[in-house]
Order: sequence, then structure tokens, then C-alpha cells
Amino acid sequence: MKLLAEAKIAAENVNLQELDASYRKATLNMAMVTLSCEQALRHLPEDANKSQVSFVVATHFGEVSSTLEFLSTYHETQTPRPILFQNSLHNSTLGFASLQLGLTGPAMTVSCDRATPHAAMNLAETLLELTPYVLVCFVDHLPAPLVPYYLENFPFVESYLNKARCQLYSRA
Amino acid sequence: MAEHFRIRGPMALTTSSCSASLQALATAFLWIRAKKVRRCIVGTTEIHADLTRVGFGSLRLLSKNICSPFDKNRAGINLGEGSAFLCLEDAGLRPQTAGWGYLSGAGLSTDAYHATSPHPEGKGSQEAMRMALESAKLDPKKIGWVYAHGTGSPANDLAEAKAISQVFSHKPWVSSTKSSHGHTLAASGALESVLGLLAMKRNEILPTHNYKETDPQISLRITSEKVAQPLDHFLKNSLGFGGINASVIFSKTARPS
Repeated sequence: MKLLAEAKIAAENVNLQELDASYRKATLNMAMVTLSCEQALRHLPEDANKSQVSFVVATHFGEVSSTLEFLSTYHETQTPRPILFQNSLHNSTLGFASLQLGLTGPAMTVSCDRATPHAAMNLAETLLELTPYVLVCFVDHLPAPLVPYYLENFPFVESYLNKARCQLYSRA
Repeated sequence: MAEHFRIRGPMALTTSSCSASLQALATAFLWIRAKKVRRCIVGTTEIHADLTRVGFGSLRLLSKNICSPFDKNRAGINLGEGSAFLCLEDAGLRPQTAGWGYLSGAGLSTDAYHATSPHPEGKGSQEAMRMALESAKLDPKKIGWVYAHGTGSPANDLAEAKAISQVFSHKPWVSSTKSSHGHTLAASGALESVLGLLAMKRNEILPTHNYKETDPQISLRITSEKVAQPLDHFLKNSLGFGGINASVIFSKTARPS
């Protein structure tokens, strides 16, 4: 695997209200993945098209904020909000980013406890058998009140917390 | 599970919604083909949670009656619970031992169309099926049966039906068994692969229970009764939220390497 580009973005540098209307229903995970991948994709060779790019989203815990909001709202009002359910799914981050970026190649979300980063790289290498390029994006965002709990019980998440890091690879 | 069973080789947990377990089968296929591993355990478990039931209800995707995939009056899905695990191994590892079947091709794609609805023409699904056929080096006419995702949702079934019609001009049999066991979401790909492998061993096309009336927009060869027919290959589809598509092809005999 040959690293073509890397892009990073921190949650503190993303203001969802300032992004364009297509981000209206986005979560912070979705915005961070899309924005960082957009930067990395600028390094895709000009003759490559986006169906030739596989996409792996690696997230230890997925859309925790949306899940919490969905459950809290439902608990308080007894009315489930479809957009919060839709956004609570692990795969929703990948779905949103692939739609925004026009990625139509193979795509997977991977959540594999402490082995998530290793599994993601393994899958990326595998997907290079199907397409000449692969994007791998690591993302985890947690609501502030839950951070101490997660850090105490899952210390491995600390270096991935509240940021997205995207890498674009080609076949060696 | 890897720790419990002391599995030291590569592992992955894909959480790609309803395509997850078919993606996992595709990954195992690619790992074995690339000689990264010689054997791989693949599977999924899906259990009911209030979050799932309430969530799908909020999207108005649930049918109040037994679901009826591809039927003119289909009105949504039934949630199901299930678990299925398969052991895949390099066909050359124990050539004298007959397996249940052979995974001969896999294809993956993304719609990039909508968060929860498939592309109306099933473009992504078409791409996944074509990739699987190419990977298996099979002419579409060799596929005797398409074991569809077929959730019973109006939009999903129509998109998948259009995709199947585009890829397979010879009108193979098409079934969905979700009216028998419900939609087991992430587990559906693995669970239905096992059912499909058993059916292929018996040369049977599984029925789509509760299929009664043809939808004029759907031009597929669907049966509500079991059909006895010699079967060498079948293709299994999964389509998931986020526009994630997976297709795999199972064959009765191993392709010569």
C-alpha cells in the first residue's frame, strides 16, 4: 500500500451551523469524515474516477451522540425521531460521506473494539484487490458527559477521540 | 470471540448495516483468495432491541402483516432475529472433503444516492452483481437462482427487481425468504447464505411465501412454492442503509484454480 495523502480535522474546528445546507442533517462524525476525506481526495490522480476508490470508515463506537439523543428524546416524548434513528446507525457516517463525496466503490464500516484500527487497515489492504485506491478514515466523537466513562473503560479510544484522520492509499 | 476461541489470525467486525454479513463473507473470500488465511469463520448474530423496533417504526418501514416481498401489495418489512456462522476454507486444503458449496465470486458497491433509500434503478446493486459475476468468471446465464435481499419494502424491492432484470436477461428464478423468517438485518446475508447452500445441495429453489399478486412494475420469475431444479450456482444479494450493496455467488463445485 502506498500512502498518497493524509488529512486530519478536529471536532473543535468544525461548526456544523457554518457548513452548507447539504450538512443540515449531519452529525459531527459525518462532517469530520466528509471534510477530511474531501481533502485527501484532492490527491487522487486526475485520470482516476471515484468508482475506483474503496472506502473504509473505522469507528470504535459509531454514532454515540445520535444514539444518546434518539434515546433521550424518545424517553422524554415517547415519540421517536426518524432522523435521529437514521443517524444513530454505525453505517450512517459512511452513507453520508459517500453520498457527499460521490464514492460508489466498495465501502465498509468497521468497529472492532481495540482492534478497530488494525482491522480497518487490514480491510483497506483487502479492498485494494477490488479497486486501485482506498480511503481509510478513523473517527470517534463522544458527547462531553460520556468522555470520562469511555476513557476509564476503553482507554484505547483516547488517541482517536473527537477527530477524524483520513488516509488515501493506492496499490504499491 | 477471537479471544475466547484463541483465533490469532486477522479479524474484522463490519458494521455496514444490512450488508454487513455478506460483506464479511466477501472479505473472507478475498483473504483466502489472496492466501492471507486458509480458513475463516464468518457470521453474524442479530437480536431484537427496542432501539431497532422503535427506530424502524419511526421510518414507517414496518408491515403490520406478514411481509410479502415483490408482491403488488407489499407494505413493509417484518423484523426477525437470527444467527448464522460459516467456516470458509481454501478449496485446495482438503480437496477430498466435499463442502456445502463454494464461494466463487463477490462484489461490493455503494449507491451514493440516499441515506436510507436505494437508487431507484438499483444502480449500485447492479454494479455489485456484475462485480461478483466478473470475480467468479461466470456468464450471467449460468446463474439459475437469485436469492434476493427482498425485504418487502415497496422502494427496496422495486429497485432490486430493476437491478436484477438489468443484469440477468434470461430470467432466473428469484426468491426472498424474509416472509418466512423476517428481516434479520445484519445477519440476513449469512443466514440466507446458509439456507441457500442447503437448497443448492438439494437442487431446490426456495419459495417466496406470501407472494400472491404480480406487481406490474416487477418483471421477475418468482415462485411461492418450492421448485425442484438442477442448480450449479446461485447469487445472494444484500442491500443496506447508507446505500451499501453486496453480492456473492455460491457454486456447487470448485472452480479449477
